[in-house]
Amino acid sequence: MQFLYQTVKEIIDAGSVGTPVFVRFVVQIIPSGEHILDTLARFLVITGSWLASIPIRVYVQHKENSAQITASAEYTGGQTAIVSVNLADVVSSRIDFMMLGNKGAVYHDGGVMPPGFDIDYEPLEVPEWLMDAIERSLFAGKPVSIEEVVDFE
Amino acid sequence: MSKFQPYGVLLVAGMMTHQENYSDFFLADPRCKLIAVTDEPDVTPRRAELDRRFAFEMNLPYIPDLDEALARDDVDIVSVCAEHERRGRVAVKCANAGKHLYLDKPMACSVSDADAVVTAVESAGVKSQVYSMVHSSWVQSAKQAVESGVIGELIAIHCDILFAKGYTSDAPLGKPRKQDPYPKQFTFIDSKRELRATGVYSVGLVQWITGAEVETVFGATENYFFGEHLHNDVEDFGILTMTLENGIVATISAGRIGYTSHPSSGPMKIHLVGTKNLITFNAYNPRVEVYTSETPWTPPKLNPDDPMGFWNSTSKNAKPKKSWVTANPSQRHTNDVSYFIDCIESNHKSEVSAKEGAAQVEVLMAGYLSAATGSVVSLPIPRL
Repeated sequence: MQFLYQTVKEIIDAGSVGTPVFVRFVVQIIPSGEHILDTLARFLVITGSWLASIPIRVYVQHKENSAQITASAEYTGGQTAIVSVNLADVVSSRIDFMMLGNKGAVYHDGGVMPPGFDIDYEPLEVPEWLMDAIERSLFAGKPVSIEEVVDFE
Repeated sequence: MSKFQPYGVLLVAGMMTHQENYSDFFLADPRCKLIAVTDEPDVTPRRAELDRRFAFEMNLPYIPDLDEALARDDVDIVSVCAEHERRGRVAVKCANAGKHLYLDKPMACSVSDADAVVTAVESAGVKSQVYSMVHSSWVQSAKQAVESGVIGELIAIHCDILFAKGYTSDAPLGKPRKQDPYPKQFTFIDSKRELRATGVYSVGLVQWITGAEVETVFGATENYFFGEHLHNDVEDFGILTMTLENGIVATISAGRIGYTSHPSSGPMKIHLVGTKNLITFNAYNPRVEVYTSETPWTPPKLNPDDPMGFWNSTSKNAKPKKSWVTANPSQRHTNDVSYFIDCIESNHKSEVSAKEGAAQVEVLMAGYLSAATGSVVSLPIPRL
């Protein structure tokens, strides 16, 4: 992921797509032993970094023992995101995303990655409150306001 | 009937509606004959003038009284493109007159209006169809993938259909939009409620591909791109997260994102997640990409009567984008109307009848309710 993360970050920083407002991820990943909730959280962190914002509300849908998890998130600046992570014993991972700015867009078609491609996550830490919000939303089956789980002061 | 004489088609509303497209569909089917353009007698002077101009350009008579037009024996089908706020009422009247209905999408602006259309269609025993994308080859392929089992059991579906039109402006960003839970006004010259106007395609595809009922809806609407939408307090972008029966998860994104945000008409993708595999269907695949020394594409000149580029009639001189050229296989029903005529002739219900159209309306209205309250909304919703 590092190459994608950095490339998109540079495009955003250059200002060529305006202010990022929406991110859509649909990813298929070969299971690595990491729990699917942790993988989802990683992608939400990437999304938040691109949007330069923190979520105010997260809604997560995941059936127990299912290999897919989907989260929608709304951010402090009104930005939105939908992230779907799917685990599958396939030959190669796939990352399909769309990032809309208010003056342009960045797309990455989710074609099969080259053999040996590794989802090498960038060193962005998953904050505890985000994991807490994900778990609470799953448990409650409804959106969770971040204010419910964290005191930013 | 078509073996002896063509189906007579009455057009309700004309220029600057989707009638500009649908009338071409009817003209392309030799089983149909356009009869006249009509509308309600008390439409605004602007609408009446646009209807008259359309009739003139199509070389059709204009009948300014819908009742009078519906009384004609040579009218078998009505193509209803009245503005959203009038659409349900007009559709009910046409069904009660015993005419088959071809309906613009979304087919009504409230669930109660949509219910009334379904009741009228069923009572009159007429056929109905709401315009959709279900006959596009990429959508047909997605449906086949579900039915064939190639993805295993379907567990999630994600659909993005966004239109790359309009001139993005410096609409202020920085805070979430406040959504009216029960929006009632949908018609503006310079903007549309885009969750509804473009989201209806994705909602319809999710329902048609899965064949599953939507049980819950969680939505958000936003203003990201256009001052016109902000000025009219309508969203230019929206997302929905849904749960369907059997636990299937569905998400959509919908909106208008500006002329220069996509190499073609806008992103159009369906991702099917199954227990065996994930397959993505892209409206632009297969395609070839063409890059030349020709002058790069530029958006059409801004037309104050249609700044978002809604209508064909205002974009006649616009140059099409040419770098992506799709190569879709030919199919029998690339013309949505021809499928509808087949349904009438074979006495089969359309796969996207008024009933399915009403289900689309209910999901969209649930989306607004959810966006306003920040909560998950269970269907059915109150019949307002």
